[in-house]
Amino acid sequence: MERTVIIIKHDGVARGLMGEIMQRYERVGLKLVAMKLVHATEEVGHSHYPDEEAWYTKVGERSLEEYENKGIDPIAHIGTADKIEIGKLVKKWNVEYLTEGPVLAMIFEGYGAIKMGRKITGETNPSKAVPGTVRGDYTIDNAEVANAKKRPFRNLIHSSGSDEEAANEIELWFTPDEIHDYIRADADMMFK
Amino acid sequence: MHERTLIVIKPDAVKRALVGKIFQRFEDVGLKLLACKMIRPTREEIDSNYPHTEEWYKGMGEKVLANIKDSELDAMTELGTEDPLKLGRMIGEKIVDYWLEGPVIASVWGGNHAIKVARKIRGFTVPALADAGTILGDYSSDSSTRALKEGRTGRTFIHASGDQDEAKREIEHWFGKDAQLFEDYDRVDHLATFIQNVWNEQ
Repeated sequence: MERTVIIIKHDGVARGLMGEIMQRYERVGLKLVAMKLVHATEEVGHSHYPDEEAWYTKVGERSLEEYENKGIDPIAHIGTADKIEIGKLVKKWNVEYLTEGPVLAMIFEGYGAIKMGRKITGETNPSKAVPGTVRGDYTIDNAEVANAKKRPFRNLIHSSGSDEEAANEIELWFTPDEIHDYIRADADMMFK
Repeated sequence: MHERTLIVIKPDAVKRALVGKIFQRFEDVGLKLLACKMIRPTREEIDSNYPHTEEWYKGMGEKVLANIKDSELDAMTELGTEDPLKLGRMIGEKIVDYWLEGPVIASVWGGNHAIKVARKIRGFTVPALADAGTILGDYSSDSSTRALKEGRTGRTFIHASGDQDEAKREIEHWFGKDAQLFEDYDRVDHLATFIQNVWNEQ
């Protein structure tokens, strides 16, 4: 059975949207097996995001593309046009966002939980997230604003992106005794 | 006026996947989540969270009697006693078994009159007598009379502290004396909800 980490970031906590968001994952049949309110340290924040050249490159390239589309000079705006340096800057902003206040960290379990989680969460970029997804329904941010303010998308949720990410994040955020097992009342009817 | 209260979402509510719906009720009224964890406590941890006073047993017995009366049944015929203390002790034995059915979610919430507000939203623990619009009124239809006849306790669904002493004791019990409570953030609607307080303070 697959597990995925869903984190309601601090804006979701402070906006009083935790219950509303949790329901989205619960009602499709995903099983909540761990949950805690936690204020992540900077160290956890740093470990949460990859520290790999490939990741920095990918993220940097995405930002450069955005700058080019908007006709903005990245050097004038953030002091560099180097994709890896930009990637590192984006990571720093991501860590600041993830650690700005208490967050609700959860593990959901179910068939294809990672993909299901991503589908319900919606696109990373709120302006592209469709209605019916959490981000589509509760966020209005876009790349232009995020770049201008030198911060990441305020997109409410973290949702594991792959098997590897989910495994790393479960270990980073939870100890084994914080993860529980039980049978949901509707499990037999849904999955027999 | 500002209070903290302990709320525990019990195993049946977790298994029915109602955690989000329940959280939403407490969030919507403006309570702020100060701590939260999913746990599977031991029999000892559950048993020692209750006061085990005569008053506590009697209170539970009286609720069963209210349920029986409301069902137009006779306590002597149904359960062999109409003594609230005896009935309360019968429930006391079963209540730990109920908690042991699965993981629970323990949480601490803060806000103006948090204890009374949380109890009001939860509703009366005899589901048939709980008002519609309360969590118990909306999501539960168990009968404490039937439960006792079946040798189990009524599914009370959610625990919410009853008064300030209870809240303090229970928060310490489930989160420890040095519990880290996240008091240092504000709900975004804080100022709009409590603006009268802001004016008063100025």
